[in-house]
Amino acid sequence: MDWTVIIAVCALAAAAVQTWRMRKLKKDVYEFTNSLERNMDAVILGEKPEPAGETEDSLLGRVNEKLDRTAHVLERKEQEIRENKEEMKELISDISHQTKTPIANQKIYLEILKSRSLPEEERKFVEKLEHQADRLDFLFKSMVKMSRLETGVIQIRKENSDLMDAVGRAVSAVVPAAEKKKLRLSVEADGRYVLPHDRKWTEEAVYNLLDNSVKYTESGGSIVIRLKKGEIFTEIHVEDTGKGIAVERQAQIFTRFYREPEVHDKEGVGIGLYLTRKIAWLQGGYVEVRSEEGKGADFCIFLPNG
Amino acid sequence: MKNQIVKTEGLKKYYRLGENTVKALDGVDFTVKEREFVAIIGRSGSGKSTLLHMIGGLDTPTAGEVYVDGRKLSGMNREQLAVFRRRKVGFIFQNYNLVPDLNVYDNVVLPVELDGKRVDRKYVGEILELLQLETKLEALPGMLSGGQQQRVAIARAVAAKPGIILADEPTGNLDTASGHDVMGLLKVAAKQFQQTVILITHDRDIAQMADRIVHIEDGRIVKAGDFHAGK
Repeated sequence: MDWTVIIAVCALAAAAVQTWRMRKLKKDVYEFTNSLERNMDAVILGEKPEPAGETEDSLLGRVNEKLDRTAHVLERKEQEIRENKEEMKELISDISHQTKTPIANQKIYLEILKSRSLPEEERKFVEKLEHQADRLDFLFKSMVKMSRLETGVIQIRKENSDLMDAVGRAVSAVVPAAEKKKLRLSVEADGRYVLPHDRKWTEEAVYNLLDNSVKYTESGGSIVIRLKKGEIFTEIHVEDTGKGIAVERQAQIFTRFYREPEVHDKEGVGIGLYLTRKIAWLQGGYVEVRSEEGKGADFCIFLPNG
Repeated sequence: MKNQIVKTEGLKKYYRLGENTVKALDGVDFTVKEREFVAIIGRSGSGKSTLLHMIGGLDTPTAGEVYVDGRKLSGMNREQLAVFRRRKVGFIFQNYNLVPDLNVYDNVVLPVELDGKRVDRKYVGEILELLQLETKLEALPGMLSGGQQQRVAIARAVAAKPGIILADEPTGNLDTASGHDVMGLLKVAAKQFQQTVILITHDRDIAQMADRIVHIEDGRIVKAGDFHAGK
């Protein structure tokens, strides 16, 4: 009889102790996980994990130390990436610098050659050579621009100014080519369009659209540059009466080195639209095209108002 | 090669309607790559909403499989699906679904807080700035225009850093101009914050703004291609 009571009491006490220990264990696990989560969050946000128990030889201490080391590894990797970028930047500027002189020299020699009296046959070849040298020059310049944008070497500098400045400069750059082809150029805009944008790169983006329009619009056609301020974005439209783009090719035209199949005789390397899109993206905007084959095209750059 | 973040295999959804069987989806094989911006276009009743709901784990298929980020949805129970939706999917609805008595900022960070995560204020700040909402943080949804409310919904979807954003006729209640604005911002935000977007719409003009358009008709994909613009 006594024994049963003692056993029962012991069993009860053991159960109580067990329950208490389970509770404590649960609490410990909960606290451990919580602290771990907090520290991992810190690492994700690029902050230093809190040094809870780092000096203790507890599990939490060891995990926290590893987490700290992980953060260090990440930081080192980031440093490496920065250095690589720096190297890339130097390489690009070397390439651009080193190729400039030989191409310029080549063009001078060709110029000299052209001024001599050459037989008709040779003259044709010299002209072709000159054309190719120009193309090479353009290609190099474009590729340098592209890789600079791509590697983030060029920082887009957004400043509040009137968009018309950039658009105006781009338009005047294509006037000679447009006149040669007897294209009507007109600008539709009213008022000022002051918004933060990078003037130089925006000019480049608009110029690329205009350059394409001039290239792909037949003599006598027209190009309209239209600015429109919306609630969120300001739109720069470049509409032409040119050959248009088939719907199924409208996604591809923005990819690097894409050329429309039937325009291989025309000048160009397929970088313009790619650059334009990139420039719009880097300024928090985007580019769109609305077109049908044979019915002209409406390219539009959207730049955020503020 | 970018990863496939969404993949469906032979996806079917049949409903019984009296004597008839309605085939909402009838064998859909569909993939989306990471960071793609895809528009699914179709008339009402074409099955496009059903497809979106399957991908978001809001509905279960009659047959076939849905994989999101390598995980099979059919194996999950209710609770797992709820966690999946909270962590992996951001939804944008036609009627915005904002909490009316929380201000803009609180609406945006709500899903993050519900998931017990710390709010990354810098990240949220960048999103709000991009969506041009930084002056409206204290405003209640009722004080905002439709376009602004939908921008808040976009910010909320992006802030939780989901793997994919599912947008169900996000411009359905907006006029053409603000619909276009909202789409533009969704595009820019998805690009900036590296999100994958699947959008359903019946509006060709809106669909045109995606990288890729998928046509769906009578529960089947009829044309899938890259043919469109503004990538």
